[in-house]
Amino acid sequence: MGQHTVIPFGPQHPVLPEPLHLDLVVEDEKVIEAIPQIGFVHRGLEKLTETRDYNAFIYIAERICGICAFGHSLGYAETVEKLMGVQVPERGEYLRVIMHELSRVHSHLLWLGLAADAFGYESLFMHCWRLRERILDLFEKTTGGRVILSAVVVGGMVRDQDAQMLRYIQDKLEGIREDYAQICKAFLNDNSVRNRLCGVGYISPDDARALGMVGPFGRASNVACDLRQYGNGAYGKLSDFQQILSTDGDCFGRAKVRAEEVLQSIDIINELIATIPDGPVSVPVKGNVPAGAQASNVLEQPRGECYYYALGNGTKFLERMRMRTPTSVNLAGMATALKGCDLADVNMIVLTIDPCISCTER
Amino acid sequence: MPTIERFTDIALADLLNVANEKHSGGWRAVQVLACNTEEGIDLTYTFNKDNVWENYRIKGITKQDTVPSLQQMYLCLFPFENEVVDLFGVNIAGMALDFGGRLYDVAVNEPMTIISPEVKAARDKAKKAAQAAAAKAVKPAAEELPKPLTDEEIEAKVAAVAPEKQDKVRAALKAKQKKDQEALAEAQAKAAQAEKPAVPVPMTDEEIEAKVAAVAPEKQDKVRAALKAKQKKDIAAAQAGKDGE
Repeated sequence: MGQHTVIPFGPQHPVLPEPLHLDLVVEDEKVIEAIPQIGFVHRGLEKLTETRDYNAFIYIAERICGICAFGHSLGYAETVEKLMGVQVPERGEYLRVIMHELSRVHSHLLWLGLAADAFGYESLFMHCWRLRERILDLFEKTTGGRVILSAVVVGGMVRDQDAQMLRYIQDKLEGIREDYAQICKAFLNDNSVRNRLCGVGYISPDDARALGMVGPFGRASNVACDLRQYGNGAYGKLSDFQQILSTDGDCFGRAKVRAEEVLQSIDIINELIATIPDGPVSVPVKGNVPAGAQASNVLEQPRGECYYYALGNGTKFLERMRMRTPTSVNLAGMATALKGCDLADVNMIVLTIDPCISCTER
Repeated sequence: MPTIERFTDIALADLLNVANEKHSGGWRAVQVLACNTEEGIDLTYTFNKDNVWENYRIKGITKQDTVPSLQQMYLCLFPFENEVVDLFGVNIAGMALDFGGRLYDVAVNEPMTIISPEVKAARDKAKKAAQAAAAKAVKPAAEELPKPLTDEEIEAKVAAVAPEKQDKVRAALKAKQKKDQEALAEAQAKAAQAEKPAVPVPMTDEEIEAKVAAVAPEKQDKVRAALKAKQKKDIAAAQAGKDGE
């Protein structure tokens, strides 16, 4: 019987975008068990509802994470709107989804670049992030910020985007789509990429369901968990939405799902821009949150399902605000995927859950 | 399929049965969250199937309660159960992945249970607003009740009736007068009770020492002095309330 060795992985590691520690129990280069440890970036943000009223807290929510910034501000705003019975104008809902899908494109491009860097394809990483820069330029042109957008308020959007700006977004996205097609070819057809990803970190559909996996991580194992299918908000105005699934269940499947979702998001943005109605983009929200009122909300962020819960106490401060992020529920799946893999594949498997530890710990 | 969201209160003893039922029905566990209240910690478990979101809340969990872990059925709940242990001090038994209170390794124990002055002020304000609303709801009831007839009004009505019926009418009007007087007195007592501010329950010495132990050593003396002063004030208020009765 081989000797067991425990190899610490992280919290500082070149492949990790954020601190995560794993104790890898290894026998002859095979990982027997992986025990995750988080807690390096816990900031206690949820406790700040005590000192920030429900309008001001949105600025805290979008700073939970830089990659998911828009998603968290949107999810939080929708939860408070549910709590207070506020109906956002239709144009505001369309703009929210347009910006959220742009955020998904930027997040997936970021991940594709990190994945390429993880398996040593430096030039592909640079091309992905070069393309991502054009999305960040779009954010800056529309909202003034590249990463933290501050575009959402409780009740709608901070500012409207006129027809000229929406056409500009469409033109830029067409250019991005053409360049992206070449990157996609490298990810999906290149033999060296396939050698690193195919068959690595396989999770069966049954295990994926049992472990409650969400997002592209779950959809790569054929779990139909994309919340956009339920048509909340302007997602309900899409003519046809089919979630992207894969039966591969391995790292290649996860990369393929994310790669194809970028193109799907561009199509969604184009469709919503073509059909966006006129009208206001927000309604004023005043008054206290009713005491004892509670609401929950779910949103399909780039990494998966994010669950929000809010409880009112009769004042302008929320008694409790809770954000359960997709990475926290995918950690169990990641630990399962690591069992039985080669030590050299640990990097890729950890990266393919698209870990966002700042979201997980808040 | 439209989103269906439900909130249900359950007892701690029912948690495992609910979880077993959901697990065997193919439901997915979404999360566990805790909320600090004056009665204890409220735990909410969320399950999902298709687009139905069931939230089960267990209210008022104290330090003496032991919550069974659901990790044997739903391993994905391990970060949430460990977080609840770290941040709220809930005792969860039988966790498959147990970080022993060190998931976040926070500097202050159970930080989400520390009620800051802002939260205290918000809760007191909400309580006062709820009492005022309850008093308002009761007051119109007292005002809407029929005013009891006076003895003079009764005699005036009796005088207008035929002599052979006067005794019967007088008895009926007296009975109605008594009933109306009792209803009015009850409604007025309810209104007075709603307007009366709730008397705060003074903390015990053990509760004070427990709170002081959770604070940094250099602040303990100050916090102890503040809590002792509040205890003295609450005892005086409780005594005043008793004397008033």
